[in-house]
Amino acid sequence: MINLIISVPRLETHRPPVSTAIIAASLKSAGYMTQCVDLNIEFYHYVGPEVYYDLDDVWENKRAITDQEEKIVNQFIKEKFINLLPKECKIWISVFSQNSFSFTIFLTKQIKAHNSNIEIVVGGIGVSTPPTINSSESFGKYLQRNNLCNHVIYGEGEIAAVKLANNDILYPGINKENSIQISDLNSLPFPDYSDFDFNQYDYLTESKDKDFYIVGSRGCVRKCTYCDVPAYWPKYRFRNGDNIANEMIQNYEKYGVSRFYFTDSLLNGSMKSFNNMCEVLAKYNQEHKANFKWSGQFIFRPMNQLPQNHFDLVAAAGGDTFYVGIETGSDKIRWEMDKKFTNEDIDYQLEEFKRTGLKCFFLMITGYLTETQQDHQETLKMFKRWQKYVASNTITGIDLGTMLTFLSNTPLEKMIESHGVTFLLSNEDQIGNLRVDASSWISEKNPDLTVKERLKRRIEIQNRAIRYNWPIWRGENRLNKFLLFGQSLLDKQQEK
Amino acid sequence: MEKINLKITASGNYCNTWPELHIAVNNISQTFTIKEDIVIDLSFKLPKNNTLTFGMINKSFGKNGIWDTAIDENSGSIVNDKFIKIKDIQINEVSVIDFLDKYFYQSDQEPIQIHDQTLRFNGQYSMDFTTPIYNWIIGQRKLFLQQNTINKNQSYFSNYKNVYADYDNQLKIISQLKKILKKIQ
Repeated sequence: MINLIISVPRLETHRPPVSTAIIAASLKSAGYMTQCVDLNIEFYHYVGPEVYYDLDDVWENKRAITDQEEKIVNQFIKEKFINLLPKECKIWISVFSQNSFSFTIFLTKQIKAHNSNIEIVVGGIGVSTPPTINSSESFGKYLQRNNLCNHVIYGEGEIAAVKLANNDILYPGINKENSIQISDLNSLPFPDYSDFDFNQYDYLTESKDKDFYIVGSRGCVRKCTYCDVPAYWPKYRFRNGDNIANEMIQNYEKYGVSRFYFTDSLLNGSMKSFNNMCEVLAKYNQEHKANFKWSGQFIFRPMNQLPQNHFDLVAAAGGDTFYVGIETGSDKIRWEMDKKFTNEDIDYQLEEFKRTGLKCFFLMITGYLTETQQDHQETLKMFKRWQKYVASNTITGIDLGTMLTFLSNTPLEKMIESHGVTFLLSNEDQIGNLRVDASSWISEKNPDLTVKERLKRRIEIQNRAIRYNWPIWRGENRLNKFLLFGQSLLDKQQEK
Repeated sequence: MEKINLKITASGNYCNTWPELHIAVNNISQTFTIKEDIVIDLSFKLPKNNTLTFGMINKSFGKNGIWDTAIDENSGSIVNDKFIKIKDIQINEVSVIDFLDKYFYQSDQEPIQIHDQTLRFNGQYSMDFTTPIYNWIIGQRKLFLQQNTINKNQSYFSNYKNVYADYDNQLKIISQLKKILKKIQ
């Protein structure tokens, strides 16, 4: 019997999905026959980019699907999947996020209508999330309750999938939200990409170089106050550097892939592992001219932890663009976020990046809980301070983000009471037992930072970035959202 | 006025004499003899609109019987040549050497443009630039990137390279937002 491992819209189209390649590798290593099917990229080609991206608002629940669109989706599923199903198969669906819920429901309905005896397993991060904002059950439970799947794997799937295939359904994470983290990531087989047609993907470089995901670690070494990653992955686990490098080398030798994107919350969490990986890659680059290029999320560290030759090594290994949570121009606010690096540390690392040809992309959060006018001025100053690095193409862009939003299961959530934070009520987000708009908050301890003031500061920041010609990601899109937000505040005021 | 530092790193190849590089920023000009490796370091205080010109000036093509290109009589190949290799151009510590192949080397003698940062003929590059200088440099990069066409079909939201959007629309929205903010109590 063949195990079909399916990825579904909506995912990135720029690289083959790593999630299904990971499960395929685990099942294959245990002796099972597998076949990966990327319905996401097939759907992209079936409907074309315009229709594909038009449906984003449907997957993100911003609008209802039209009859015509629903017809196309179901037609696609029937033609490209149901009609091609082997007689005996087991289906494993990777649900990456809430944006995959709608398609998964369409797919599972058709599978069960075609043959109710086909066993369907769903897994992925998305299965733990509620299907609607008013729901208390997970998406996985919703599917089971509606007989749209037989089993759900919660949490990491590599070991649980094999256990389920072996009919050991008592393993943690199978049909129960009691999954355990895998301690030794080095023991896992490398993702298996043998079923993928690499020519299908919409690679980001002009020359369409093949690009793969790499999973180097899970969790994070930091516990930034606004972040919920530690809630999902309490323990930070990482692969040894040579283990990661060997996977990249294998993909290069087997498929000619030299570009990689790390899915890690930070790819330099363990300096020992990171340096080790760079040493192996640098040596391979030198001997084989592989010209590896890899990118991902990255943390800046205090400069006394980073000798100059560290950056030369990263560059020699193929380090390319690093996405860094700079968040603010205020050292004080960054410290309060629990990010232990200063503007001086940033100066040093930017200069080293410039010297060695490394690039970075700034990620920002504006309007932090304790931000004062002085802190805001520090953020405004950074655009001139680091403009040189934009000019040198060291800083390739900035994501100014939305304003600070409270997430559940974060240190910031625990500060709500002590800071006297209250929210405008709405149906957008869940904080504790309340349905709130988690971005519309005020704090008794920082009364000057009203919602209006935060919006004003956010606009000033974008204005300043434009004045210094910084490349802003999603610049117009975010401003349009603020326009709606500002208008809704005005409407609420006028109602009163 | 903005303080501008210009650093040109160049190396010369000797043939009869060392090549000479003439550099001018607006009305201020200097000529440098380029022997092997040299870093020319100049500072100015400049207004908004400026022009940088630089080029080789002393290559001889037979004047007074002097040829600064030596050719093997039998094979016809060049065995020595006077030229200047421009290794780097930095303005306020930012390299703009990659801009060079976007400009035309004006020369009476050079029949075609060969963009390898090497000046083989008498002539000049002419680069108009404005201050604030970093704004100009970033603007040029934006222009060159757009000339290389960003694939608009690639998803705007996943494509981190798609950052050089038009500021005009953003400024219009900011203006609308400011009006709304004035009304919010």
